[in-house]
Amino acid sequence: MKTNISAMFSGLLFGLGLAISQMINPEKVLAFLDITGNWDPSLMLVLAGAVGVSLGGYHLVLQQPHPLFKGKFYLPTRHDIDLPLLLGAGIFGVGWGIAGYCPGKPCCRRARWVSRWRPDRSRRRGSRPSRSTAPSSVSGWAFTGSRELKRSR
Amino acid sequence: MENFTPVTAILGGLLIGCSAVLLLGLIGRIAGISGILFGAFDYDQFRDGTWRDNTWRWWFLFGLLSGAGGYIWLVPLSFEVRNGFPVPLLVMAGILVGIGTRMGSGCTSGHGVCGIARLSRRSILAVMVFIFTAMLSTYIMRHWLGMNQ
Repeated sequence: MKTNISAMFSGLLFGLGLAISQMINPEKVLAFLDITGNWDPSLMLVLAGAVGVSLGGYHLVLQQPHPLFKGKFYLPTRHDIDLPLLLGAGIFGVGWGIAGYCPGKPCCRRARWVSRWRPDRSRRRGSRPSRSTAPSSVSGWAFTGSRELKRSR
Repeated sequence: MENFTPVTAILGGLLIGCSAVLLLGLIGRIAGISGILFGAFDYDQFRDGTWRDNTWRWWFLFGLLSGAGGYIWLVPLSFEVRNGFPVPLLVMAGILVGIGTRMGSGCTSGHGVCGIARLSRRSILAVMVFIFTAMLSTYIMRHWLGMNQ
């Protein structure tokens, strides 16, 4: 129970951060990626702010023997640079650059459905585009997941 | 540069950083959205008739949605919602993002926020690669194919 509440609280902060910084707006993301256009460096500051806190915070946290509610830290163990990492990052970047959505944003944009009942019509329109990215992201994962499974058998 | 919003960007970034530190400090997990989302659907987590330590992922995603939703509910959106972006392109983008984050084991949050904070060589390299290819693909989309809205 403590685990779930911690996770929810952390998710809450994350979602709030994405919404306040307008990172749920794909056009804002694309404005950062489009360096030759009307460049908007906001995303860089979001990342800088987040890394600034987590760099110090992680350092302090990892000095503890274990997290508060769990027996151990679940950290990635790999350190080698391999082709799937580079290729995967490259493919992700291409997809991200097309529409301006990375995995967190379609999830958050679904939050718009929650606030749909508000009587302001102008705000209701246009929530549809986000519908298509989340399922296709999941199907992309499922696709590579099944490939991996086949390979490991 | 007139759309630059440094104050809200830093504020949002600080919140995201706090979220990542809390998740690691409390339950020892990396706040990578693609990893959490994928793990939530991972059939491999189903063993011996029970889901193996999986519910926290759903709680995180629920929080993520409520956090963003709650903010939108309280504060009217300050931006015009994008309309009429071609759906086939969105689907293609989604599939590429899905394959890419799975293959490269991370996205902007996992590699970008948490990976850099752990000073992971893999993550720092991945971030450089995906920002580069993203800028390239945005450039092609907007300036060659004219997808500028």
